[in-house]
Amino acid sequence: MEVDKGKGEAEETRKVAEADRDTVTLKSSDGKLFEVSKEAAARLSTVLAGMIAGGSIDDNGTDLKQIGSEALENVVDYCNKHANSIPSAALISSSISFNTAPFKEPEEWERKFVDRLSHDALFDLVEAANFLGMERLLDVTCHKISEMMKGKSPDQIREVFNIKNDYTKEELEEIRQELAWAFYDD
Amino acid sequence: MEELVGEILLRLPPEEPKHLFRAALVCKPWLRILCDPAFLRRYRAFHGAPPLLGLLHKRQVPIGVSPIRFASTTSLPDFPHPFPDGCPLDCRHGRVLIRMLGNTGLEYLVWDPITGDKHGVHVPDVKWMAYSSAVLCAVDGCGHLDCHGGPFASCPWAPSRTRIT
Repeated sequence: MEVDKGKGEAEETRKVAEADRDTVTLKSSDGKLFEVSKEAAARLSTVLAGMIAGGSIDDNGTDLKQIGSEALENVVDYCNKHANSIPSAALISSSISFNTAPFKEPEEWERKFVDRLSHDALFDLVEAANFLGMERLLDVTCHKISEMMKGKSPDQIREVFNIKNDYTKEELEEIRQELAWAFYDD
Repeated sequence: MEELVGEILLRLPPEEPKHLFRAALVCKPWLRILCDPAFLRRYRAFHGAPPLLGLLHKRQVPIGVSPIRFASTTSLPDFPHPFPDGCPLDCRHGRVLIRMLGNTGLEYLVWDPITGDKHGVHVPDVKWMAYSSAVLCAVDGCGHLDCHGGPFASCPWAPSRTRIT
């Protein structure tokens, strides 16, 4: 009974100590540790918010086995940058514009953040954002990838996404003839 | 990554239809995503009001009659109006109402420029100079973001001195 009580107290103390920290430590699939602002992590990721609220954050590094170190570094970088950014006037005004689409254009710093990434890093970051339930990061990264598709032919898109063409020559030719206008160069 | 393809395709801008066509030709799984009614519902909700694809216009020429043309505002090429003798009366909810002089007299056609569908509609028993007509989507509760193929209503109206009937 005494042991249980002691263990309970120790657990309580650990939780209080964790609750007092401003950061959480995340561990990538390859064992690297990253510190991230607790406030930003909870605000930007539904999964991390749930883990923080549920007390399942490990002081020695919360295991995120599905995310590699490069992608996790980018996630943490994004969270920390987001914590320091002030919403721009453009972002605020877009919410009251006539265009009621839910998507808000990426801010300048978000654009720069995804522009510097290689294709592989960008695709890994999309998967990480999806896994962690980071809606805004998913929005920004998917928007960037859809921009990469603009002006590209189906062949070029296949190359970027490493996709095998499963149309027959006849099928493609038939569609091309019917929709020739869609294949003019930009 | 596969489950995220829909998220990426969702963000292709509707203002330029060729992006969607090109994406559909990448592979058949992408085609299936783009044709999935659930994806189309999300796409419309995500982008809001559909974009303007073009205008029907008729040039003033000094001699003769200039045919009515569909002038595209996207990469979709301009094309001649398929009913050169017709007079477009109204354009709404993705359809054009056209008054035509056919072999048997006055005819009304409702034309969907996107799908190419056309339907003849009842000609009101009123002197044609005295009224015009409108075409409306007739689906109950429709948000009018994509009304292709559904029921529609053609509604004649005429101005009077005191009211529109």
